[in-house]
Amino acid sequence: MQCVEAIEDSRLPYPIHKRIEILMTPRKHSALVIIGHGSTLNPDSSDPTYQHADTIRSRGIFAEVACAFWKEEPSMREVLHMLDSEVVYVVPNFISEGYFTREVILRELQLDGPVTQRDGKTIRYCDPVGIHPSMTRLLLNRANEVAPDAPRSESTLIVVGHGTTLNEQSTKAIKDQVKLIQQEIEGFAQVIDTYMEEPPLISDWYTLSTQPNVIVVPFFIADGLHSYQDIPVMLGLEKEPTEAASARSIFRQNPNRLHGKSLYYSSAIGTEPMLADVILDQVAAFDTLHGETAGNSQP
Amino acid sequence: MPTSIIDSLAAWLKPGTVRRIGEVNIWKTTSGYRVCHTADLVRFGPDSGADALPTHTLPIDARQLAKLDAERKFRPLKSAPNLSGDWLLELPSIEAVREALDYFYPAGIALWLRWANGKIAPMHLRQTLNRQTGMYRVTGLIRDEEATALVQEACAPENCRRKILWEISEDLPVPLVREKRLEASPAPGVELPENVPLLCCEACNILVAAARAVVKKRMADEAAAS
Repeated sequence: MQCVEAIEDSRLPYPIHKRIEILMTPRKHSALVIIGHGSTLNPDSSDPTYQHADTIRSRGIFAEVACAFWKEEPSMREVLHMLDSEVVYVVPNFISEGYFTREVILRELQLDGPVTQRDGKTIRYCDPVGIHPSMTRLLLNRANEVAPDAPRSESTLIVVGHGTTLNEQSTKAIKDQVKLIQQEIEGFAQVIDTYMEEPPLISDWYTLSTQPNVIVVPFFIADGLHSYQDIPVMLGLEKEPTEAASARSIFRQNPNRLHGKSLYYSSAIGTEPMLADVILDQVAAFDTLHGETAGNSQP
Repeated sequence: MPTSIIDSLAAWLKPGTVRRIGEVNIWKTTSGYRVCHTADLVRFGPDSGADALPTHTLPIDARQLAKLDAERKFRPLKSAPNLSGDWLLELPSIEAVREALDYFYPAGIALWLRWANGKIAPMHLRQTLNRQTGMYRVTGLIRDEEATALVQEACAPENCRRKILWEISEDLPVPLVREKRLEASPAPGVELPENVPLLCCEACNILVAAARAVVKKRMADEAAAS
């Protein structure tokens, strides 16, 4: 068993002690576009994507930073027009590989693959944030924040995702995280993955968990209908879905006593401020894999 | 001639002018720039005679101002003519103005500049619908008369301020009212006009979702009738 830093060191494409230096490397002639899902119903859906963009913009690493959304404006068809930079890094703020990252984003941005040259621009399409090794640290951070005093040796960590029987890839990022924490990180007595729409179901949390303390972390990009409404009902914290208001106190009631256990429920992992660094991790990982100048029309 | 978006914006906002995009007005001051709702121009504008204190000072404040309407309802379509007023945004730099305007009207300035320079080819509704996959693939089945009626209603000036550049298909134009039309494209390199029109280069996701609802309803009606 190792600490999370040692795990990251072995999985990152660069030494962990150089991570911040690499992430802060100026890319003054490049733009960054963060792609989010967005929503026409939930006003909070795009907030985390915008907030991570704010963080990165404030660091002055890129010449331009923009966001684009599937369900909100600007659309993916519009966003490249907003940029003057010749090199554009695109990072999907999505939790897993799947339909959106492999089909919708490629189609809407008119990309050929990892590197696309079009209209005088080089577009460098990075992996989604959710599959980066740094997500392990974010998961553990969330658990520590929400249940700082629950002894790990008497705690079950439940990572909950959407799940769908339509796409195997949608659960892979969660399964990978759970397996890593189970096998390599010291602390939790039990670590399991659960889903809203496929077994093991989050609604069975109290039979699936073996420990008196249960910490539930939603593996979602934003606090939206799922984390405000659906999962609280499935956990038994609410009797019926309530409004998706930002002011909901669902995350401030910990611990909840249910089924003889102490239940801690956190907000979505994507709202963790450190996710901005994971976006930069994916840019750095892209350059490590493809070369910093691959496809550039100018050095 | 300005070559970048930021240079075009700076040239547009020369001292002594009051510019407009959508429902906001922008003007240069001695210390930066000010932005207010068009309906508040008499109250807050440079000719108001009163040196009003700004209510907001950060570009990201524009994101919150554009998020909800006067009844605190979510505005997923930023070009809907329901931006609420009663605020005065003061910004320190042209970079901050660019960021703020992209929250009020995402890509609004950039789309006009690209279009005026011949860099945008509008996408007809059929092309947009025919490339959809997943739950929106069914939108390709929308009939011409359904599409025409949908666009006339959903894209009407009271719902969206954008000027539509596309047609239903190459052979089927959208019967647009005057407010939804745009004069011919200006000569390349022309500067931003005093009042920048919001352009619609292809159907938004809201219209695509509405097209899905139309097709699904017809299918359900046909199934019920058979």
